[in-house]
Amino acid sequence: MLEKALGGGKLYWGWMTFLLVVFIVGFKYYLRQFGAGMALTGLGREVSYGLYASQFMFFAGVSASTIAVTAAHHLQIGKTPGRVAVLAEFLSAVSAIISVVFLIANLGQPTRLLNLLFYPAFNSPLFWVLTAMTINFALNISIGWAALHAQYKDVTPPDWIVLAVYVSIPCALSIPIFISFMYSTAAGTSTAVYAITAARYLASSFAGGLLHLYVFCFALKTVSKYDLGEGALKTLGTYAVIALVLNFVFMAMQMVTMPGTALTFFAGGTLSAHPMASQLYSPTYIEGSVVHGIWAMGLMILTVLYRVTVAVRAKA
Amino acid sequence: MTINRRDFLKIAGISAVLGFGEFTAYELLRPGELFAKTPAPPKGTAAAPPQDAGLRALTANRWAMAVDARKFNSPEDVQKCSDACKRTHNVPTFDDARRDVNWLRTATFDQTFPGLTDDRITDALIKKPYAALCNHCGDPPCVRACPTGATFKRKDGIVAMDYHRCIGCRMCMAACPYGARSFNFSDPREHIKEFNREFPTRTKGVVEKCTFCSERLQKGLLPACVEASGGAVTVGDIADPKSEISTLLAANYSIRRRLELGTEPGVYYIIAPDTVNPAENSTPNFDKNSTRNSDGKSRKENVVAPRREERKNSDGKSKKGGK
Repeated sequence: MLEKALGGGKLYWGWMTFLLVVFIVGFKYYLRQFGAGMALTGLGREVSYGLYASQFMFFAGVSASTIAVTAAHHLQIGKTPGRVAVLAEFLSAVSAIISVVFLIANLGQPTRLLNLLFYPAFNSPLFWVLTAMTINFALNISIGWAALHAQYKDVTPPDWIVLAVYVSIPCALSIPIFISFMYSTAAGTSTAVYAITAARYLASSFAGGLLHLYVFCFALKTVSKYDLGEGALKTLGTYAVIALVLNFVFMAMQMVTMPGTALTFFAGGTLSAHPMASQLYSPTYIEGSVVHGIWAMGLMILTVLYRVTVAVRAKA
Repeated sequence: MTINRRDFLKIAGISAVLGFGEFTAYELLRPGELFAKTPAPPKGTAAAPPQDAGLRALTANRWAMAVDARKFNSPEDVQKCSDACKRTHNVPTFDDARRDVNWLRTATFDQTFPGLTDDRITDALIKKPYAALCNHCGDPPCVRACPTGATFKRKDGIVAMDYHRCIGCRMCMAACPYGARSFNFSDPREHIKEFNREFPTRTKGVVEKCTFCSERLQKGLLPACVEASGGAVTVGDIADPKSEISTLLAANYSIRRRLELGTEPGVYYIIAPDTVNPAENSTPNFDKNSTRNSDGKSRKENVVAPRREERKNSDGKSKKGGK
């Protein structure tokens, strides 16, 4: 089926060339970082993680989130069109690769990456994130390929897919949870010590990942006139919105229990203001905080949500 | 083993995608042949004798450090220790604060003891400079965070680093509540003022920190900062109640950094002579098997209440300490 990748119109080859140029430019700059060290990124003692780390976590979340669509289709829950499920499986695999590439770019000594396997530290959440992501990657590639092949030959997909999906569910769900554990290892710096962080990261990665898939499907439908199947976008949008609403619920739960926020209501264990409270949830700007960014992002999400709802309603 | 074109392409393709390269492909197509040519490692090779085995190494069940804050009055006093540390361990000096690498740095009171208050912490103490370094915790968060075991805790309490295993992921930096770890954002070798040929330099992209001068202890020497401080810094075995450091801490009032986190730091800051508890009631009852705080009544620094709004926590904390 790979021969399909070698045929295409001007737009296709133009896009491929553009991606190749982006890749070459990116790789050239990465080689500069490889030579000069992480200082080139502008990171430093005070801010030791930046875009690389956030991209690693975001794409790991995207990789996990597509299980909602995969499971719904192959286990026949609701009506998810098969074509979206195949796209979801390949998006998951690709996101896992992107995620690991960002992890490698974030390392001071990338050539020692395999030390993660040679000397695994089982008490390090990073090891479990990578393990879960590797299994999830392998399963998604296999499921996606088998499902795509079945569609191509117009036959029913093999039975082992159902078993693979069942194995994939715990793997996918554990990725965001282990990532939230990675946040918790920084408990010494009081950034994330709340149990709700795991649930929030799970919900937010499903919201972000499924909206990512939504945009991808929408672009595919618009540009290539690819038939996704009836009601595909609506179903996807619904899943994403449910995850987004869950995330907001968890966020509210965190705000009412965390001392020092605008909504503090239940005081859990301690009465002193949590350092994160003023950083994230303060109603007013405090020097050095990211309050503006967080609230602006919240407004943007709500706007996008509104636009998506209107668009989906109009289509339906 | 016969192999058709389709299978060959499949194996080659999968190998290339997974990045295994020719070795794995070779193994799949001609299993066993490659390994058969590799000579077996020689058996019965004896381990090399430890270096400096003939010298009297300084040993302890649990190394600890007492920094006498009363004797550090100006930033230069701390800088003396820091400079000695830099000379001994080839620690680079950067102008750019973002790249800063330091094993022992000069810090303000608020940077060293955030949120801490006590009746004995006077304005004079708050204005003093403090030597901030790795606390060689009893339960080090950095060791828990390291994904490769490149940082580890030795039996004698020293938290050590393997610079050759470190992949530079900086999880330990995020986990350390004391900011004691530095990452080499660029090549440190170009920024070393004086080279010490007896200690290795580090490469870019690895984390480094205070080693409690374990290489000097092995030769029977005291840590560099202890020598440079002129008696203001003491090291010793805190598990031994008769050691110099134990008697010093019994006779004086000391505080430790962010005790509420339960990391059991091994660096004590002496701020005043003990006048509340007579010395005979305050022998240290260190339990080397315990990773948690020992009883609050006998460890005097545990009665220090947090400053400002955290004051209400002190009840919860003393309960925790009693475990």
